[in-house]
Amino acid sequence: MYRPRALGLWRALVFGLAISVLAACGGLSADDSGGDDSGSTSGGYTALRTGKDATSTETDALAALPASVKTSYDGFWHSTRLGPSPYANWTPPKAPWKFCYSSAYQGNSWRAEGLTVARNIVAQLKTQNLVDGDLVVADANNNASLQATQVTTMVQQGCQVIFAMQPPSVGMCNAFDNANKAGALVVVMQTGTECTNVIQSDFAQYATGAKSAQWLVEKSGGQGTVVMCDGIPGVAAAEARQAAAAAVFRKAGLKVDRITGEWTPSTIKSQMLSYLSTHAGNVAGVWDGGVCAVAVNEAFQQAGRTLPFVSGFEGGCAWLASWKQTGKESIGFTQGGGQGVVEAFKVALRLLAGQKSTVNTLLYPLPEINAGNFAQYYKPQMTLNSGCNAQPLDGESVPDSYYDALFTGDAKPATFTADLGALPIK
Amino acid sequence: MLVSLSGVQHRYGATVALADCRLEVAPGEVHALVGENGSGKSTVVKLLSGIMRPTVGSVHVDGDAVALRSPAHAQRLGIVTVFQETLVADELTALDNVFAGTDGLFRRRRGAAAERTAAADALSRLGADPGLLSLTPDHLSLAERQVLTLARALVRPWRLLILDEATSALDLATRDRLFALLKEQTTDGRSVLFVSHRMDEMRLIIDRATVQRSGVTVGTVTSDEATPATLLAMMSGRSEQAAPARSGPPRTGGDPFLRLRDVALEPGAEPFDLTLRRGEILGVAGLDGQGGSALVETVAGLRRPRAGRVETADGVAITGHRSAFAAGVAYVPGKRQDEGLFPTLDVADNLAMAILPRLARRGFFRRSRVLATVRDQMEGLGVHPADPRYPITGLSGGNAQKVLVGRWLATEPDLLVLNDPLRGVDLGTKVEFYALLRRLTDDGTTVLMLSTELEELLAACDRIAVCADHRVATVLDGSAMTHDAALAAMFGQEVS
Amino acid sequence: MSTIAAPRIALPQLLVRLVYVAPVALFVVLVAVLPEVLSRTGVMSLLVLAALLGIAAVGQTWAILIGGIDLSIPATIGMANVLLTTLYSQGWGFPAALATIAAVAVATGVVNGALASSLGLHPLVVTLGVGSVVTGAVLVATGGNTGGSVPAALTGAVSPVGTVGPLPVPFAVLAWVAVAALVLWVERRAVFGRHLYAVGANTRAARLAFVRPARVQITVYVVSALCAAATGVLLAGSSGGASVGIGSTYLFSTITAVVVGGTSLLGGAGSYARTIAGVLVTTEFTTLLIGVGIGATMQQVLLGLAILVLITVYGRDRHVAQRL
Repeated sequence: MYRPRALGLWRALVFGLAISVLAACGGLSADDSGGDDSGSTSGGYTALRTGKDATSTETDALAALPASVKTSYDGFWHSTRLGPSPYANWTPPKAPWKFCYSSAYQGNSWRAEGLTVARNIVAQLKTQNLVDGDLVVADANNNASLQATQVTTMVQQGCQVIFAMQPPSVGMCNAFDNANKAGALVVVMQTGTECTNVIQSDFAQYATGAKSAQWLVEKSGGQGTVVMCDGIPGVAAAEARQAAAAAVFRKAGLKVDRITGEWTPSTIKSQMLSYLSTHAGNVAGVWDGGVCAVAVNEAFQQAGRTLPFVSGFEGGCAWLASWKQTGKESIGFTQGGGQGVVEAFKVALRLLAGQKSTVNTLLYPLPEINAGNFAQYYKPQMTLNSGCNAQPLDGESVPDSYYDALFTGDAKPATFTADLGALPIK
Repeated sequence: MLVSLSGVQHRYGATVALADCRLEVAPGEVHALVGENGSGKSTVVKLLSGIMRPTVGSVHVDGDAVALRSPAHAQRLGIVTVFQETLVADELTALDNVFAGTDGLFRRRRGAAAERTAAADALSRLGADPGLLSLTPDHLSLAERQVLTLARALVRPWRLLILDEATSALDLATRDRLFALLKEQTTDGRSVLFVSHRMDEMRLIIDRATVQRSGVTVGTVTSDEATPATLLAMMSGRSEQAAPARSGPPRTGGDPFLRLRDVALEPGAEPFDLTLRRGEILGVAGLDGQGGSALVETVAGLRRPRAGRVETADGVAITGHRSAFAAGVAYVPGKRQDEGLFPTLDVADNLAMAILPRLARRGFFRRSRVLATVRDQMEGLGVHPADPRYPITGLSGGNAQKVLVGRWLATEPDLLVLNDPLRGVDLGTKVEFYALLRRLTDDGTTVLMLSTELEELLAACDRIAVCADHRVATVLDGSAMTHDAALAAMFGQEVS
Repeated sequence: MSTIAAPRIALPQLLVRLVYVAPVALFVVLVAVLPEVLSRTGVMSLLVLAALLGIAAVGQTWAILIGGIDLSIPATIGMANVLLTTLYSQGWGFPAALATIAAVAVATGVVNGALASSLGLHPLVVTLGVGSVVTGAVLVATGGNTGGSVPAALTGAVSPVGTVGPLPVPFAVLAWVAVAALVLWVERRAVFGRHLYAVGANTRAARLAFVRPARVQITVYVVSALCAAATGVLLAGSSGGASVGIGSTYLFSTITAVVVGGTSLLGGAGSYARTIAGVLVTTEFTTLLIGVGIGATMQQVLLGLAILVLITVYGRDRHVAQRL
């Protein structure tokens, strides 16, 4: 029935493809020219060296940072281009401000939590008469060009502060540049980006990955095989964590096998089951590059194998439940979606108050969850299928004073209560 | 000569469509090309308009042999063709249809205003309303669509205009205006090749006529000689291919089984009555597009008549395919590949498809039961090879056709409607097939069979309904059932 | 056009039949390279993964058999996965949650089939669109908040060491065997089964033979959605949180299994039996690649290459059939 029209369809598809290729080329070349403004290492920005060793440019930049933050910036070149603040000469607008939130995707609990927290904070600022209208939200449904368009539209709508939640690390610079030129403040959250015309707020991806790897080295006694459960190939955050862990294991002389879990529990479990059914040898430990621990534990149990030490990563409630169930010690970090939003708001409010940041990228450490504080984090409502994340015991990742070393000026920023502990556990 | 063919042959695979064609169109003349179905006249048109290239020999234009690579190439040489199928693009406006194909991909050859003026001029010379140009063709009548295709040809710089049955849809006034226009335009040395089955109207305009029969050119006559009687005689000379002999004398048939009352097949076509009798084989003859296919499809319930009723002798009306089937009418479609065969399946599946629901209990069937039915039919029809698991695509055309007939015979119909079942089937199989039809009618089944080959109908049928101008023009039976009579009726002539 | 009977070509036929030998041959290779596989958990791990894919691939096989394709399978898997965990943790009974999921799946299938047949749109477009709507609706309904809990029994159903009564076989594998038996029986012995082939081989001829293509099409997409939903429910047995995106890998893998099995993308030729072979082969192939330490990106490249090779082999066979 549809056959005769299928021809037309294919023609349409081919045209569509041709158009999107043209559009992509246009977009790319435009982005290239946008990138040229800042240059690969010009303008004082280091190069993005995902999965590679640092050159002297990066080690020098690292050495120049204040001592109190230096550990969080180790390995920064895997996920970001460090340099001066693109908002050094920016005159912040007067309050009330119009806040906007551009999310790459909203389809999981982690992202949902981030948005909830953003709304909470804006509501609090509103009671202080600092907010114009409501928080403007856009979901790009994992479509990079759509997110770029949404950012541009936000600028046209008069957004003065745009929080970009995990945008793709390439292809967004043009849109950000538009926002920048229009005087809007763009804060990219929870990921690295190739763009140097924005403020980035992220946790210490590299240092965190190294920390859990180091824990595994100690627990395994520095012998045997560890399995690295990797995230999505090519994503800067995943590559940064993996580079850190691989370096630690290499140094310790451990043998490393790798599976690609792609941050998806069903994939992780099937990869792990297949790994176990083809590797009879002893596994000394499994390193979690994100979302892995629960599925890995289950795969070991169901394959009838002795559970090795399995690190965690993002501190999911399901991971805490799994730790409780197996009784096997682990290590993890609180890395909820809301937590990242809190840090981004802190940075944005300092800049809006008139302070200047000394760098474009603001990295902070994550609170650690370990055998010592497990009991404080674990709640009985947590199940193996929970979608929530553990929240920092102090209510935030780092105290506000952490940023003092990275900002100049003493204007007092607006304040809010993060109140992460009030988020539901489910 | 403006255009000529001499000793040209054309084959499709093993089929010889054109064995020996000699045609000469002189400058300034209107030349008719006549012949019955399968005489090769549409092949000649396709060769001249660049749709196909001859297997042997070549087309000469202005005395030089040219290899016409495409219709566009033919048009560049001034050969423009108007076909009977009113090929218009429904999604374009009439204006765009007139100029479709003349523009480059990105650039119009002439300005929009100039196009509109030229098209409006062509339409008004044909007596049509230039306002048609803003409409899309799906709002146009058949005649208006045909006018549009004529306008499309006339706005092009033509030297030879080929009209392939392009006048049958026109009303008389428009046709006369077209003829006048052609007479006027051929005075400067341009020519027209005119293909039509209407011998009377042909004589109004032609200078000469060339007659084709079975792929061979019989001869060329002048306008004065081209009386219907002469042309029919030239067309009907016994074909070289041995016609299968009749298996027995025609029968008169029994009680009426199905009646068509005041049925009009097309809007505006003259209504007619037709009765099918039990146990007879009624043939349907007619030139392509003259109502034959429409008639068998109407009986099978696949087409609703524009007027009138189709009902069984018991008064059950046939209003659709399913109601026809329920009334005992089974339809074997004509185009085996498009409408009949399931090419990826085996013989058993192909044969059993229509009977499966009846053999099944609660939606499931027993393989043995289905195979028994299939074997029965294959044996009765003499399908070769006699292997139900053989892929259907491995069978010859004749055997594949037997399987399709078997699909419907298995449902034990009262009336079997066959749409040109023996196209491309070898003589031996044809003879087998006639015997099979006779056996069926002996058992009380009625057969309605359309064929494009008159010999076939004469050999197999008890009566022949001849279609012309979308109606049954006459029904021939007994001693009146002759080749000449049928041919004359097909060309709208009285039986002499 | 041609009326001459051409001889049957034996070689491609033989190649096509090889598909039933391939799972056994590849298993032998797998065991030879990685002897560890030959254990209860090794074999059961393989079979559980195969079962999840095999159940999801039922609908893809039939959709492709009738000349269509179902791109909404991942969305339906995600829908079932999220709906089950969400409803169950809200206190719904397991049967009630299942009934709701089945109802949504049936609705999805009916919309797919009805749009494809009544509007004459290609199923490629229809199922892609319907899939987006399903995913979007689930996200709107849950706000992306997809945490929850599942019945404990579900975890055992997909565990390689799970059992059903006295049988040392996890439920998912038994369920696949049952589904496969039913599907094969319908394909071979049901009128509907033959109608699938008729519609795929020649829709016009099928209609003239009193097959109702629209009805067949709707039924196929309903079956497809139900099977995808079943996979989505079983996937909830793997802990770690539900997700609307959990089925994303099942688009490529179901099509791969069908194509590797040798069911023609042009419709009308193939069977679920072939898909079973395709499912086993791809699962064994993936296990082999993981076993010898080839990363996921390279696994995709190699699977893609394997498909290209197979399409070339089957494509030749198809042309032979079409030439006659």
